Amino acid sequence: MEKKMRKIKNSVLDNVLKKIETGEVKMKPRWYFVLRGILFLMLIIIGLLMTLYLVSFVLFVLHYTGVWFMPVFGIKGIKVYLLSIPWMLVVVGLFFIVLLEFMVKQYAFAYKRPLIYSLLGILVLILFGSFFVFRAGFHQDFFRRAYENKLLFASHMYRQFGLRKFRDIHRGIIKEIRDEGFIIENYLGENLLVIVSSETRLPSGIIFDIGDNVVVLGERDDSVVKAFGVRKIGDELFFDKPFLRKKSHFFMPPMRLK
Amino acid sequence: MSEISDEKIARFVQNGDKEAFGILVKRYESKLTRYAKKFLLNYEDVKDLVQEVFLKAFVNIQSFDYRRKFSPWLYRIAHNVFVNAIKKQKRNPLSFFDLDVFLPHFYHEKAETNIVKDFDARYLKDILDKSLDKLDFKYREPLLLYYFEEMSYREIAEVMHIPISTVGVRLNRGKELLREIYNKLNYGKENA
Repeated sequence: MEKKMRKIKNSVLDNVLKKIETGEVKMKPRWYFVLRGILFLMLIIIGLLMTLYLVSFVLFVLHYTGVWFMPVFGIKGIKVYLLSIPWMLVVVGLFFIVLLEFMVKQYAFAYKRPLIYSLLGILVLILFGSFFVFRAGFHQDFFRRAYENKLLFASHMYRQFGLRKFRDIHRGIIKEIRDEGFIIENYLGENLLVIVSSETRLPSGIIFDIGDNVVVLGERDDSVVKAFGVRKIGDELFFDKPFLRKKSHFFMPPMRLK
Repeated sequence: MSEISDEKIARFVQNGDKEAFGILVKRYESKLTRYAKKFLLNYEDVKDLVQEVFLKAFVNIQSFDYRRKFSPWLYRIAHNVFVNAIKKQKRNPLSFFDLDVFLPHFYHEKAETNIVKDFDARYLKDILDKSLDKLDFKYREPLLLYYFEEMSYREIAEVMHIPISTVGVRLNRGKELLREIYNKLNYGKENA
């Protein structure tokens, strides 16, 4: 009876040792965990790079198309801005950030502290990193290559988002000054007559000149835009320090310039 | 071998001494069985689960860093096995996300003694034992690890993969719930 009781009591120990001895369960080698750790870290780095790429692409698209500058025109500008943001890309970017957070929280440094800290850390890293990538001008060059069909990846994405047409947002270079306003050539190579009236919001003390880079908020009818607001955006905003690129601040499709 | 630390024994196992693993099983079998019984409640195959914990520990022993404490590492495996068992039962849905792990809390381990000042701590283990089924998982587990397994906040955080401050908050809230249960029980007795 006592022997039987001891046997029952030790059944976990006996079973475990038996399975180990017979080789039913085998110890995973150390290199397996090292490799798994490295792969997991690589996955995080790849996820981080993809998120950086995506968020910086959103910044590029917003800036290139002129959407970026809309909030300076007040409530109407903010409304247009919110309606023009490529939300699909933003949602995908947010998904990547959440995914990164889930991966990072496997590490003790993340889970031992409130998760908001690691999430904020990721957000700051992504925002600063994306801004750096955006300023570096990679997307500008990729877009140029996509337009020339020389980009090996994502050329459709660059064309789809970079050549988007907006009803209210017009970014371009002033080609001609007229009595009623001016003519701009937008990033699609189209000439648009921008009508400036007394109701148009203009920055005080700024004189517009041929060659100025401007963004216009106003409804377009054919090739005429009734300007609600005009802002000179100039080269100085983001592309004034060409530390990685030496080309013009924004690419104009060459075929349409002719 | 009784004076040798768990970590050293785990190191022996890592170096190929498979039999040394038996010592770890002997040391932790009753503890893990108790933990499983109190954590899972009414679960029939506790012994199978404890066995599964040890087998997983053996399979993954090379991932254990012998410079750290062995018990939180083993209890983490146990936590995962038990949580999976609960998920399989589907009777006790576990919350996927808790806000208390997300936001910071200002809580210090040393402040613990003041929290139960009007509640006799000597009875706490006894009440906890009797009221486990009335407590939510997220409060039950830290209380079990703190009072029965005598783990520190840091070790509990390691087992549950939650912030250290959240351990404090959950213990605090868990004790408050226990006090309410205790008061109800006493009220019931007085009325009987």
